[in-house]
Amino acid sequence: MKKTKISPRQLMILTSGFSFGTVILFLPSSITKLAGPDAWLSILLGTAIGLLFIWIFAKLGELNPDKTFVEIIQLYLGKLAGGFVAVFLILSVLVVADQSVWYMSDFVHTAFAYTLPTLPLNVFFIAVLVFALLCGVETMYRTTEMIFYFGFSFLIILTLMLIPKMEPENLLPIMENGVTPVLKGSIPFLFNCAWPLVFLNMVYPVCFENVKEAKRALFKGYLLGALCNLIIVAVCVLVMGSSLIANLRFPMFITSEEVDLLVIFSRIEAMTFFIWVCVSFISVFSYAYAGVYGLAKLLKMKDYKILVLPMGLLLAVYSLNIYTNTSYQIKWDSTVWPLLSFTLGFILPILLLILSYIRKIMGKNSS
Amino acid sequence: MVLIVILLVLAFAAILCAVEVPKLLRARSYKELLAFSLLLALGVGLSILKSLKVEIGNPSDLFAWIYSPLEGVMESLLKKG
Repeated sequence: MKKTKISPRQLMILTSGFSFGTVILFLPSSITKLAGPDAWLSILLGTAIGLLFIWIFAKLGELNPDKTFVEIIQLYLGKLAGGFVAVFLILSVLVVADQSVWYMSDFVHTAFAYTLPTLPLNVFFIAVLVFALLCGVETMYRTTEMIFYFGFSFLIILTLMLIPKMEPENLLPIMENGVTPVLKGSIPFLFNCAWPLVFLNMVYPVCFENVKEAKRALFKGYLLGALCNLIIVAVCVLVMGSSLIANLRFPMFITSEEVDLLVIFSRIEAMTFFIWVCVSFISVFSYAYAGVYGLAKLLKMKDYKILVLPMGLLLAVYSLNIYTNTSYQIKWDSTVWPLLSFTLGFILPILLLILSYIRKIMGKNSS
Repeated sequence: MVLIVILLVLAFAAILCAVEVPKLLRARSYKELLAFSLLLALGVGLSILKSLKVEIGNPSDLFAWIYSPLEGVMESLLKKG
């Protein structure tokens, strides 16, 4: 396969886009539900804990350069167990990618046009995804840079426009019920923003000439993504108050409806939607790429691009009922996704890291 | 409507085959051809079943089933207070 090259800066932007991509719409409510007004403290704590995992992912890549995550799994777990784990990983990644498509169409239906048919909407989104996959990583990551400038500057502008509506009392009282809610609030941050970053190991050591620089970019990107999450959650809580945010389905969307500046700037929530779709496209692409590329690596194929279009058809078929309905989605996201994320982003990398250290020591002894 | 969807899917598959299969045969990459045709057959079959309103299952349910023993743990962990 042709060796693709990405610059460290693109990896940084990709990492941050991946860690706040699809989740920004839901994260504020799931954190404030647990932590109340201390949501911002939870994010700071979660970021600090998450750094450990980013270090694990980076180290895993550093110990096994020129290997993708699926290849590392197969190398250390053997053919049978490794194949099984790899299939599980690929399946889960593709399911998550499809769920993001479902989110998008659900959001359009809830917020804008509930009479729009679902299938054409999903097919449009998947068509863009397939096109991006066919163009390859380099093209997509250059696009990511552009998307990110849009998204980040809009985020800053939104924050500035919401300043008149902010009420600092909404952050009080700090730590009313002790440390437990803060600790619990950091759990959604971890399983939504930190652990999924393990899927970046599909691109991280392979596509770089200088792994050390890429490692630094990974950390920088993670911190930038955490900063974006922090800004969003803090703005939501400051403007609307934590008890209201906890019960909203799309807190960031509702918060951006509050903008009312100089009569001209008001009702900019469509812009929020646009930015959200763009940024979440980064996450969807990363998931789908990890799935398709991983499948191609598992089958030892020369090029993954042949699989893209059939996979697009499968994604389109399942995007209609990947979640049966909204209550199913809420239940799945709060009971199954944390455990899935825990398995793939916590247990698996630690196991592989220990195995690669053992292999390194054994290799030294024998030589 | 059902017929249109089925026809569209079949047309998509036919065009895809017409474009890709000769390329793969020329390159003698039979492994790719096998994976491609299996995946495409799966996609076409499932989409036809789906448009005929047959229950085709849901991969999310598979994960829900795998993690069902631990569901209670997660619920108590993510409960307020």
